[in-house]
Order: sequence, then structure tokens, then C-alpha cells
Amino acid sequence: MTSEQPERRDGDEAAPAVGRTLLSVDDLRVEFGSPQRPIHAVRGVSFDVRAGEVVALVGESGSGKTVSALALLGLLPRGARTTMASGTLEGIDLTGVGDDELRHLRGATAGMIFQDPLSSLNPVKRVGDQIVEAIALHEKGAGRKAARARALELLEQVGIPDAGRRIDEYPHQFSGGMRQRAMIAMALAAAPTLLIADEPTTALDVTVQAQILELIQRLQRDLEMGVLLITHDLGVVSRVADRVIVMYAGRIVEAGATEEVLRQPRHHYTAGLLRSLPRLDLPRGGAPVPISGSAPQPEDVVPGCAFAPRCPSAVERCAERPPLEPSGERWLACWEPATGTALDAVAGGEADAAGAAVVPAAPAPAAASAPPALAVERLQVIYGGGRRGLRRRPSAGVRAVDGVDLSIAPGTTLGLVGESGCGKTTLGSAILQLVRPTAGTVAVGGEQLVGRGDKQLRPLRRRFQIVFQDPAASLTPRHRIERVLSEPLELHGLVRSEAERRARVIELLELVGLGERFADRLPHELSGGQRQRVGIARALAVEPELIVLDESVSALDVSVQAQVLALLERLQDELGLAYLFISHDLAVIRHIADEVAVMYLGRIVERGPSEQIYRAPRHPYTAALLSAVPVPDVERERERERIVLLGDPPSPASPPGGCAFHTRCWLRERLGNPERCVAERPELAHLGGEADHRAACHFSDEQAAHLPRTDAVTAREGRAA
Amino acid sequence: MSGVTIDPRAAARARGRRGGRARAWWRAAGDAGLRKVLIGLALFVAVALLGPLLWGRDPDQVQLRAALLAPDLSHPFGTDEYGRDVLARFLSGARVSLLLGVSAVLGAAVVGLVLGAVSGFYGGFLDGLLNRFLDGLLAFPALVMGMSLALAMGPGALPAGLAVAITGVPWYARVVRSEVLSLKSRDFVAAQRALGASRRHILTRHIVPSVLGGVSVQASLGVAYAVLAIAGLGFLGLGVQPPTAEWGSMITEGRSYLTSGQWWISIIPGFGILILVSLSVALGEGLRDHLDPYGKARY
Repeated sequence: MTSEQPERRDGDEAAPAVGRTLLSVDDLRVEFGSPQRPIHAVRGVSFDVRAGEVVALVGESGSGKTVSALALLGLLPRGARTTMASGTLEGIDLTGVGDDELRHLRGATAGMIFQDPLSSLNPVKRVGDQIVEAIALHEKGAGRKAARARALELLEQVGIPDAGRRIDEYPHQFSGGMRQRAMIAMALAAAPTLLIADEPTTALDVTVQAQILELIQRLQRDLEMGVLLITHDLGVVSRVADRVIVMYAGRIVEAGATEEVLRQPRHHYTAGLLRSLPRLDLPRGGAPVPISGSAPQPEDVVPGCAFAPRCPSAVERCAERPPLEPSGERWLACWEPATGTALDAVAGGEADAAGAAVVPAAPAPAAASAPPALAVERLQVIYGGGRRGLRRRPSAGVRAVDGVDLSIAPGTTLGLVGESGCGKTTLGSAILQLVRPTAGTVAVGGEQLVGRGDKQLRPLRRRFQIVFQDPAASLTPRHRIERVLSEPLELHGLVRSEAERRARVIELLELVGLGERFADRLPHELSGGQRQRVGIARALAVEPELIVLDESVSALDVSVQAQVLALLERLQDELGLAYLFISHDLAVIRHIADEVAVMYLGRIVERGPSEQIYRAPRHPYTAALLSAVPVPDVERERERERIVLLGDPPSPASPPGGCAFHTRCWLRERLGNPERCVAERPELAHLGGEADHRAACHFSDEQAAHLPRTDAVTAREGRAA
Repeated sequence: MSGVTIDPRAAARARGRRGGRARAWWRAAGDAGLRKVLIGLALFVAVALLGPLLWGRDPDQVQLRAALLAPDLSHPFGTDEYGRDVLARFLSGARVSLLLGVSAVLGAAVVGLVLGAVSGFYGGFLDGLLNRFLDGLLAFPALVMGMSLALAMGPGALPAGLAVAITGVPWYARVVRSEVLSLKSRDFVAAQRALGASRRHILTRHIVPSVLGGVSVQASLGVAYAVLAIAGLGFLGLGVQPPTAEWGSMITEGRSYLTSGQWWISIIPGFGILILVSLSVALGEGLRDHLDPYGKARY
């Protein structure tokens, strides 16, 4: 982490010695709510964590993974009832400890880091003071000076640059990644032997996630800690975890060495989860296979195997609950275990989809004469520019989108990738004219949008729609689904009679895989995936040609995400829709997009056919992004050489001059920091060759020679062949 | 919250009968602890409307010989210094309090809702102007406003109610404005704009209905405040004028007899105010729980 050089990690690196048991729990159960109608969050979970190993608790939302960890540390709210047959933390019996003792154990023996570093740090106290406080809590005798020295040491240990100055800053002056580092420093304050990390990288960008994962691994090795990592991301698991415990509906369904479990899942849920994951390391043919249905709710009574209703291989015996039994190093709760490897499963999907998924090399020639579904030229959005304030001083403003050109052919998908703050959502809003662009043009199906007034725009809005990230926030809370879907029909006068309206609503519901029975529901009575389907149905109601999908599957669980992706693909085939798919998730984009555009600080830095970009990225930023995403394949994950970008994306309010990426560019460093990158801004230039592949880098031709040995795709293809 | 959850209310709706929906609403109201409050309020309204007819005595009939009688069978709540029946005055006072209190609050809530929604949604210069105006109004306590209005219009029920209504407006406008500001930036509003809905459509169909819950909670709490303020004005002699029975002025009339043992003249209307205020506060809290669109997920 000390340089921007791609880090080499040897596969045969000595595994840390796995030592004594730090945490052990048997038959942990957690209930909420009234005893008459209990809500079972955890229904009997047993596991242990030893010194020097990383154990991952994996599951989708509601599986009870976080509640289990919180329950062990006594961090659940008062209404929760925790019971366990036995439990020890560093040899201390957890069943009999009181609140005070538990409070001491927290921090002293088990440090905890949370998902959202912004809300877990106190915004009104200096970062250093918060760490000092954490030290003082556990070392009563420590003097103020000594504690501060220790805090400084901790901040340096977690890789905060210029720690001496930053120790006196407030949390809002830290970036997301730095805050998470500070959180880790706090968790380490009392030198705990066990670190519990609850989704530590979920809120972070991929390049920052890579840094934090490296940090956790390094600390774990250096301090010989045990780490209990709670996550939903199998890619993260394969990168850092030694053992993995898969949870479903409050129970463990499978546990074992990460490599084994991910290569050869025995439980159908694990297998399904791996199959439903869009894979960065597979070409578009490896379509994710969704798990049908949704997980049982914590209030449901589940007599048999909780996964049976969704399981493709369920047998009669599954009505009876399978016990979690060991077979060798593996633990498994299934009557009819899956056979074969995860790769087989994915390869099977590949074979099935092979016919349909041969990537259409180029849009049909006819499309060339038709106007593009979307044409964006030199689009610019500047926030807060012009003359501001009482004295009307001119201000440069924030260039959220700075001269973007895009076009999407009818019936195809453009994937727009970028980290948070790169302007991708603003670009989407500007295309939809929800934010008025400062300059440039946007045309949908040949109709120019910029420069029209609200009223003139209204009839045109039929032609382009949007589906948002948060399906709960994008539906009016009090409107029943029928009304949600009727409104656009009525606004645009698309139905003439009451009967026609009702029929169209039902048709729309069926189109997105929901039935008539959903018409009378309120949004909060639906699950996240169902709400997102309603969001899609609403967009479809006006029969648009273009839909902007703004992180539309990011808030969904993996298995549900695969369902929605499949739905979007089906709708595209049936209705000939064009999609602008905005996402930070490179694997999802790879799976759904025909073309990809990569955005950095308001500009497109690389654009081209999806396969080319994933196979042979020509901009160093794209290469770094691809390299940073962990994939659920232990062998590859541990062997591959990774480009680690240092630092966080600069603020869009003051982007670096020249090439905006030069401050973090690994290629520039390799080439001996050429002055040209700072002095001159590279244009998005055509790279030659048949396809329209463009990159904004002065040295895009020299990159190939410096790329890491094992590229994302080649390794996999070599093996599959 | 999953699709398989069987919600009795959803099931009742699926039957699609209006009666079913009303019954389902009543059942849900019970969940929120609202049912007792609603029954209590219905009783109160019935007493205010029907009580004077059933009891049948004239609340203003003076009988000096029967002055200051302790409660007995013919005068269950006793009589006041002029021999007027306290029960009859209590019952007709209930009408005045209810009518004045509720209409003052309704007026304040409706005006406040409109001002707050418009200024929050459209923003800009209008927003600034309305806010300064409301800040100005906020500086007047109801009693001071009541005194000035009483001076200008002469004391009576109308200026008292008006004073309470006017001073109430900024409170509603403030709450509505901040709620509208936060709703305005939500995705569902952006979705409506993307669909081509006009601003007025978004404001009236999507934003105002979402705000109504909060306003009705505040309004029901506001009834308590209004009743007390009107009673206060009555106590000062600026409200409803004698001989009309009003609880506030009844307390004033009886206060000099509290020390001499004729407690019933003041205490009985005092209890009336206590009951109405408690009911309206309980209604407000019950409504808040009931109208929360995500309330059913409350654990």
C-alpha cells in the first residue's frame, strides 16, 4: 500500500498459523417481538473463529448474519431475546456475563467495524479524540499524552497518510475510505484479538474496497487476529476468507474452507447463489441463473428445509429439516446434496444460453439508418456556476458532467460505469431533462430535447423513462399499485375507458411477472424485488423507446437481482427497448451491456463494445477497476496480480488539471511520470480497428505491455477451453 | 413485507367491498389504540349535540333564589351565583368549545397547508416572502392577537376563534413546508416528472396526500391548544360574552367561589376542558401511529 505499483501477491504465501479458538458459540438463537408471535432472526447457529483466520458469514438480507454477530456482543436492542447452549469469547463464558462485563469485552477482546463509516463516527468530535476515547475506555491508567501517541500510531498503522495532521480533523474532512480506516483504528484501540467486520466495504467504491480488504488482511496477519467478516459479496469472501459459513433464513446451511465451498458447493442454496451472480470473469454468455421465489420472512414458521420451496432438487424428505452434519471438513444441511462444481453449474448455464447469447456483433444494418434511441453531444452540467450570492461573485461551479458524447442504437444496451461522484447519475438526470444541462444536446429517437420548455417536453416524455435505484423511494407510499400504473396511462391519454385502463394495468403487471393480485397492494406490502418490478412496469406503461436504469438492481439481493436482470433482458427482446444502464457494478454491466462507457470525474474515459473493454481495456482507469473487483473464484482471486489504486477519487469540485486521472494513475508511474499527463488533457480518441473503441489516454497503446500477468478474462478462458 | 405475507387488511381489500374496507380500517384502528379514543370522541360529540336537548333546561335561566346550590338530584352539578343550572351550562358550553376549537383549528390547518405546500414546492422568491410573513405572525401569542382583535372587532366568539386560527397558521405552514421540501427530492417525485406529470399534478396528487397524515396529527393536537386558548380568552373576558355559556368564562365566574366552598362552578367546566384536551391529544398520537405508511413494519 505504499506505492501505486500493482502489487504482486504470491499464491504460495505462507498461510498464517491457525491457532487457539477465540470465539465459539453453540445453538445461538435470537427472537424479537412478542413471545406469542416471535420473529426468529436467528434459529440456531453454531460456529467458531480461531486466531489467525478469517471466517466469513455469508447470506442475503434477512438471513440473520448481522444479528448473530451483534447478539454475541450484546449489541441488540432491548426487545431481543438471545439464547445459546454455550458461548465463549477468549475463554470467557458468554452465557452468564452481565451487561457491564460484556461492555468491557467489546473493544477489549472483540473490536467491531460497521458498514457505514459516516454514521459510525461522531460528526462533532475530532477523529483523533474519538480514538483516544476508545483507548481510554479500556486502559484506565493511560495518560492523555500516551493515548494520543497510541492513536497516532494506530492511524499510521491503518494507512492514513499524513496522520499527524489528520488526527485533528473531523470525520467530514475524511473521504469514505479514510473514514473506514479511522473506524478500523478505533476498533483496534484496545488491541482486540478478534475483529468483527460487518459489511466493511459495501458502502465503498471498488478501488477503495480493494484497499480496505488489503488492510484488513494485513492487520490480521500482523496482529494475528481472528476476523469474523459479515458480507453478502462472494467475491470479497473468495479474496480474504479462509473459511466460509453460508446462512439462509436464520440457519447455517453450509460451512467449510472457502476454496472448497466456492468451487464445489454442496448445498443448493450456495450453488444457486453462485449461479445467480453475474460473473466478471465470464463472457456475456455466462448468464446468471436466478433462484426463483424469495426467502422466507423471519416471522414465518419453517418446519422443513427453509430453502426447499425455492430448491430445484427438492424431494419429499425436504419437508423435514435436515440437520447440519459434518462430512470431512465440510458441514452441510441438505438431504440431497448438489454434485459437481460451481463451474459446471455456470458452464451449464453457458451452454443453455449459448444459442441466444452469441453477442450480436453489431446492431443490424437497418438500425444505422434509423435515428439512434439516444444521441448525446457535448453534454455539460455545471452546478452552482454563474454569479452567486449577494455580491454576485462569479464561481466556477462543479462540473458534474463535462462534455459527454454518447449514442445508443435502438434495442441495445449501453452500460455506464463509474465510481461514486463521477457524475453518472447526473448524466442520467440530464438526459431525462430532470436536471437542465448547461450546454450540449440530447436527442431521443431523433427528437431534440434540450431547449424545450416543460410543457413542450411533456408529450415527449413518453419516449424515455427511468427506473431508480431505491424501489421503495420511487413509489408514492400511499398509492396502490393499480393507481401507480394507471397514472402514466391517464397523463398521456393512452386509455379511453375504465375497462381498458384496468386491462392495461393487469397486462403491465403480467409483463413484469407480477399478477393481478398485486394491483390492490400498497408499495410497503411488497418485497424489494417486487417493488422494482412495479417501477419497471410504470416505466413501460407509456411504451418508451429508451429506459435509463439508474443502479436499478444495486439495492437487491443477488438472487433477486438475477431475476430482475433476466426480466430486463426479456423485455428488451420483446419490446425492442434501448437501455442506458448506469451502475458501479462491473459484473452486472458486463452481463447486460452491448457497449460500455467508463466515466471518471464527469468525463467518459473509455468507450467501446463490451467484450473488447472487458477483454482488453485501453484506459488505465478501466484496467484498475476491472482488477479491483473480486470474483468468487478462490484460485484466481489468490493467484492474480492486482492493480491497487492509491487514494480516493478527487473531488469533482476541483478536478486535477491535464488528465484528471493522473493523480492516481498506475500507468503514468510505470512510465516514469511523463509531464504530458499533467499538461495536456487527452481526447477520447478512436483506437483504430474495426470496432468503435475509444479511450482518453495519451499512452493507451503502451498499456498492454504493463497490464498484470493474469488478465480477468484470459485466465478463465484458458481453463474453460 | 414479502409477497407471500398474508395481510388481513390486504385480504379484506381483495374482496373489493366498501364495507370490507371500512371494517378493515376499524380493525387497524384498534391496532393503533385508536379505537377507544374514537369511541370517547363520539361520546363527547354526542353529549355536546344531544345533551342540551335531553337535559332540556335553559342554561341562561336566572333563578336567584336557587343560587349556589350544591349538587343534588334536581341540579346534578349544582347551580351558580345566579341560580343557573351548571349541568345545562356545561352541556351547552361543550358545544361552544367544540365548535370554536375545531373550526379554528380547521381554518388554521387548511390555510397553513396551502401556504406551506406552495412555498415549499415552488420555492424561490415566493417562499422567502411567505416565510418572512409567517415569521412575523409567529411573534404574536394567541392572547395578544385575541386582545387586539377584540379591541378592533369588539369581544365575542368570532374574534376569539379568529385569533386562535391566525396564530395557528404558521405552525402548520412550517411543518408542511419542511415535509414538502424533503418529499420534493424523493425519487417518486422525479419519477412523476419523468413521466411528464405537471407540477400541479405532482403537488396535489403525490405530495399533499403524503403530508396530510402529519397535518392531521398536528391538527388533532392543535384542538387541545385551541380549546385552552379560547378558554383563556374567555377567562380574560375577551372571548364568548355572557350570558352564553363557555367553559373558560364559566371558570372565571366560579373562581371567586372556590375558596368559599362552591367548587362545582369552576371545577366541572375544568374537567370538561381536561377531557376534551386529553381526547384530542390521544387522537393525535393514535393517528400518528396509524397513518405512518410504513407503520405496519414497526417492531
